[in-house]
Amino acid sequence: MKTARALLALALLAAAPTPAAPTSVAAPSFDDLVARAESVVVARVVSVTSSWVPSRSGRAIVTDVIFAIDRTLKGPTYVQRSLEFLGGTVGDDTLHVWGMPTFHVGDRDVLFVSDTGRPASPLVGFMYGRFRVVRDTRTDIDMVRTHDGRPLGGLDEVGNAQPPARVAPARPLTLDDFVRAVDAKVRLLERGK
Amino acid sequence: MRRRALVAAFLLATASAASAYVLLSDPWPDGTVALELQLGGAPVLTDGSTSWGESAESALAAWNAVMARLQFRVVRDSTAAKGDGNGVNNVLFANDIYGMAFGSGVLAVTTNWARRTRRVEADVIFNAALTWDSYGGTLRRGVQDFHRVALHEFGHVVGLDHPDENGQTVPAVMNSRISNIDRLQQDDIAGAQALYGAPDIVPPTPTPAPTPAPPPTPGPTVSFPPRNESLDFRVQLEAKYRDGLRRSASPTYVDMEGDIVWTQEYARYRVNLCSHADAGSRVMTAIDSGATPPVCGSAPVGTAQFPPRDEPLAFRTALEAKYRDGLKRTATSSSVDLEGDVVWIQEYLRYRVNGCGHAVAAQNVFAQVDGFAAPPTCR
Repeated sequence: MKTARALLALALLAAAPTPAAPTSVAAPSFDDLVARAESVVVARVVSVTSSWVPSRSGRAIVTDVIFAIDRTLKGPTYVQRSLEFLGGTVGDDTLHVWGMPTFHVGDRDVLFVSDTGRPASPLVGFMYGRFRVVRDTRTDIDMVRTHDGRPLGGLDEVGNAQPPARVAPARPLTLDDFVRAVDAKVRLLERGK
Repeated sequence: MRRRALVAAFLLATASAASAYVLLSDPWPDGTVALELQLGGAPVLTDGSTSWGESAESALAAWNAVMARLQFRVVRDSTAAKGDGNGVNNVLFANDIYGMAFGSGVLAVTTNWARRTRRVEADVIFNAALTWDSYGGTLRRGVQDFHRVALHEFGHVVGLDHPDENGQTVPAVMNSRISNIDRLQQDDIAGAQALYGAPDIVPPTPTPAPTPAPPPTPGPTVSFPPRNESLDFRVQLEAKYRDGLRRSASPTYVDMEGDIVWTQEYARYRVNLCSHADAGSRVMTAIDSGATPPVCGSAPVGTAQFPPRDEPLAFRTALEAKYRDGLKRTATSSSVDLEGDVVWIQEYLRYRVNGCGHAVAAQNVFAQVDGFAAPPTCR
């Protein structure tokens, strides 16, 4: 029985479409996210403020998002952290940058941060370095979702356009599962240094 | 960032799977939007484009062909000021986004500026640090397809978001993930037309003349090649795209014979002095009735004028809809995208009506498909 299921799994995997990359941003894998992030945190949005800033060619709108850090998984430990994102609304004017993650007070996220050199998005892979934390009201357990709100069935789905073929439906990842996986990967990277 | 800008900016146009596109709520005013192409030179690219600008123009023409109330106007090799929030729509390669870094893995960024609920500017910035080419078909590892990414980014300029990031599962250039889809799909077109309407091919409005016009001077109309020769060219073009350019097949409702017959008919009406709308209307009448409406006049010998490529492309798009919705044809497939179809058929016909035989005309077209300069006509 085990052999038959393994063969079926292999067949499904072989039939799965080749993973595609995003048009505007190459989606990083889970390992890439952890490796490329200077900091990985579980955080809660406490304020969102947009303002005009001078830019090289005139002026632009940026949005400063202040996060309360609930847990640090990689990098220096902060109580609060401010991250700057290109785009936002000030008065009648809106600068919308396609694909830029947007935040609201109260949002909870796992963030893979890489903001050296003042990038337009301080997250690894633009929007892909954001994972939403959503409380399952039936079980009262925190679950992890992708930046666009899709449930995450496994780490192998990170960076894949198509969910990998599975014999049985995957159990959506909990925040605890995800944090454990990040912790393990960080420890592995530190041992390799 | 205001909630309005973050969430309510997107409207789900409809829940049906057939129309899954997602729209930005701040449209351009109806009319023309000038895009300043500032992409610099390039060696001849794999798809035959002689510059990045030519590839970008082709992508813009594909969007123009499917929209009625909005048209992009290209400013080639523009020297306009490059900047954000300056009211100029820049399309350029750069190493950063007006001073902010792209971040790793970012191919291109489109910014939209809106004042109240009206779009006032859009810039498209391609990451100059990456390796680019312009090619169709299967994606190549490590080489970004400029034309495909430009089609996607210009879709953002039109006002379309990513359907796959909004709970939809449809084939679309506008999906956030690149794939072997290298041309506009039905969902992309439906999204653009939800914002700016579909170009109609309408019967010409009769205009009463206050005084009887003098009868036109009779003269010979421009003759077109027999159907079997044009069809043979179209068959060769299919093989060229499939086997030579290794383009993947995409669905189409117009079979190969219908494609060549009606595209040639459209061109025949255009060369013989019919307007775009008039030519399209006459072809549709011929499809519906089986009759052959007369041409509109006689072009002077030796000066056969073919229309700009966006017009036959608009006709060809309408023909697709006619076969799908009017004739209820089932989908077949072709490796030749709609734009390649009309461009190369028209080019073949241009050689034919200018003195070239079938073999020479086909040979001249395939030389161009391979990236060589257009050979002269045979007059």
